[in-house]
Amino acid sequence: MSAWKEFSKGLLKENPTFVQLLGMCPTLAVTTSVSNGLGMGLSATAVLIGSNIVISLIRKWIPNKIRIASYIVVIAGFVSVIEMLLKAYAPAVSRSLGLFIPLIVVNCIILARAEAFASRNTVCASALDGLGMGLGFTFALTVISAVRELLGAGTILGVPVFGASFMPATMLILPPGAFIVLGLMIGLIQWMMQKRKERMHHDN
Amino acid sequence: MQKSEKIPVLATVLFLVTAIVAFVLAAVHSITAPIIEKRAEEELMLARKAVLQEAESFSVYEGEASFSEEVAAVYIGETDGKQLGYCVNVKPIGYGGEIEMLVGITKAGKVCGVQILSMSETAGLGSKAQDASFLQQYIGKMIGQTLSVIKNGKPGEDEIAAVSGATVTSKAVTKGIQAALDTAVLLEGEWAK
Amino acid sequence: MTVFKVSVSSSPHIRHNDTTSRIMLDVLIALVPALFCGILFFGLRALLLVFVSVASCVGFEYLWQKMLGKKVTTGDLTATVTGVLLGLNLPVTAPWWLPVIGAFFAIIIVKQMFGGVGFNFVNPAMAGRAFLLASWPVLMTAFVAPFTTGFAMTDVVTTATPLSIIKSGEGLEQLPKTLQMFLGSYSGCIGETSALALLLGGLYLLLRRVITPHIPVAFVGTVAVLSFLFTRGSMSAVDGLTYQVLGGGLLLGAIFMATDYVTSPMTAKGQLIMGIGCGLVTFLIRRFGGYPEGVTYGILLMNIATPLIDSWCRPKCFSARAKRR
Repeated sequence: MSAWKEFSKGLLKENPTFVQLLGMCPTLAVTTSVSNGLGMGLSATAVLIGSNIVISLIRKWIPNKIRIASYIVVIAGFVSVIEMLLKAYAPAVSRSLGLFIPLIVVNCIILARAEAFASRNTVCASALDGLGMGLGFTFALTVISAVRELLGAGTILGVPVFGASFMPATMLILPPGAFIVLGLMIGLIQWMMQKRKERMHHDN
Repeated sequence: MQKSEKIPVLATVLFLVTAIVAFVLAAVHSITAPIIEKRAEEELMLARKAVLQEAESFSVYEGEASFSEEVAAVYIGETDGKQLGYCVNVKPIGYGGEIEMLVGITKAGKVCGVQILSMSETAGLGSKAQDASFLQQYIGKMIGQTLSVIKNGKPGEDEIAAVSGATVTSKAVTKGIQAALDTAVLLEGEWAK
Repeated sequence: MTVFKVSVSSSPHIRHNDTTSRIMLDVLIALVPALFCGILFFGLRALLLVFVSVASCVGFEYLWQKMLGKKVTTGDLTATVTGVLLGLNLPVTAPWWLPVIGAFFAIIIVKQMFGGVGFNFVNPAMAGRAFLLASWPVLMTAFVAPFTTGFAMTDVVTTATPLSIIKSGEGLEQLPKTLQMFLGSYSGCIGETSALALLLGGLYLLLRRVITPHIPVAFVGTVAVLSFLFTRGSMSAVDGLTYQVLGGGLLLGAIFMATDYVTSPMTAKGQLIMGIGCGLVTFLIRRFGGYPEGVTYGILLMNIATPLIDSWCRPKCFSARAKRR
């Protein structure tokens, strides 16, 4: 596949959140505000690119039997590094993401891409794949957080959008709201993609 | 690929991977740890200064008095060797867990600053207890007062108007302030020393 | 590639719109006394809110079905009943847009997105109320005393409901007398206060064979017994029972919402289990939980448990021996 295809597939066609349904747990928990969603998405992207590159580099030397264990060690290493860097240089982001930074280790997206792609492809392709998937994840998180923050708190990035008399639907920033918004978004995107496919078949 | 599946090979590879990762972690840690610690100190200093404005340095109280269970730490604030007041770190239990607060009390026994360090109350409801408009009510309360929370109407001298829809959180914050005030009473005797 | 849509359901497979609407009409008739009392105690605004709720529910269902090219079924009156029930579960101080949003959630998300009539997995009106309660808790619990408010809701003084007074343990002297509780002259949601009106409606439904007594009796009975045994603080056990049964949304929920066909078990034994379950959850939330009222979540949780209850209580076929599992 061309370099562009490797990168772009993660953005929409194979979007980890809306199509592959990976990493649901952090998606639900972290999307209470756009800044949280962005922060989490970008941190996960950094880990994804890093771990994809390293795992692709060492793929020929890791015996099959211990590959999962090795991948996890590499991923955990990257996450720990990111956690320390955030705590030192971006403490505000670190505090608001809190527990969810270490939880990036068990974010299915990272292990899935390591196992399904990085362990079988070149370093370049793996890096592009990691970037695409990570940005697709960030895109998904940002869209969901925008809806939840806008309707559930009346703000975007902490800036009030509506007037003082707007009464936001608090449930949207609570867990049930997370499920509902995520479900509706997946439904919407799948419907849009299906419509596009039908139109393309129709044109043929 | 049977040879590479033998146990010694597996063990060696896994060991190497883990060792390299551990080495990288140690390196990053040694660079960032001092920065992280400095930041934590700075934040604590900032918070303490925010609640007890005139003090320039703080020392941890290490006396024998026993405080109520919500009190986590007491700091004595001073300027030029003169003691100015206390910073009491309290952790009352709110709706969603511990609320960590810092309360500044002057030597005269008056609340001069309140800051919420961390809380996990319900977003949009209990989280409004961090608003300045709510915390402002506690400034000026004196030792000897017993504070209570009311839901409706204008609050009296000893009353705090709760955050609308978040009575449990409001009561917890009040409990923290009360604990700080009671601590100041206990330590009143200490000033003389 | 054409997609075949096969709908799978258990027998009976013949559904006739007429029968549903006749049953729904009976439910609406049974709700008239409660609606009347709501208007009597809380003014014409109560009628407005219920009207907005019904119009929104029917409107959203119509729009959804029209836009997606499905058959329009608003004639079966199920959306109308949802609208009335949702409206009756609001405090009279609710702003007009509250039932609109509640109707959207109840009809579009809980009912239509899961397949429409017969496929909702929880009671739509109850789910709508739960959504509103979680999103605007302050608005949804701003109750006023009866006979105090005009249409415009200016200068309203919010009053505590009997259940919230009992929950806080303070001001027990302010609790309404038993007769007041029975007639409905105390603060609460529009349709939940008058036990008399609700019981009349329930009697009508029983006589018309629209509902069977299993769920309401088991539900109310469980709450009654548990409240009697575990009365809080200084209240007498009988008082405890009286306030818990007559106050809050217990009668409205037990008679009109827990009995919804789609979301309750099919067998008598299953219905008893559901009633007891609802009662248990309601009591636990009222007594030990954070809210003074637990009917909403009691019903929702048992709705979700209904398929499980049905599988436990599957009726035996004729002449078959009970299988040993």
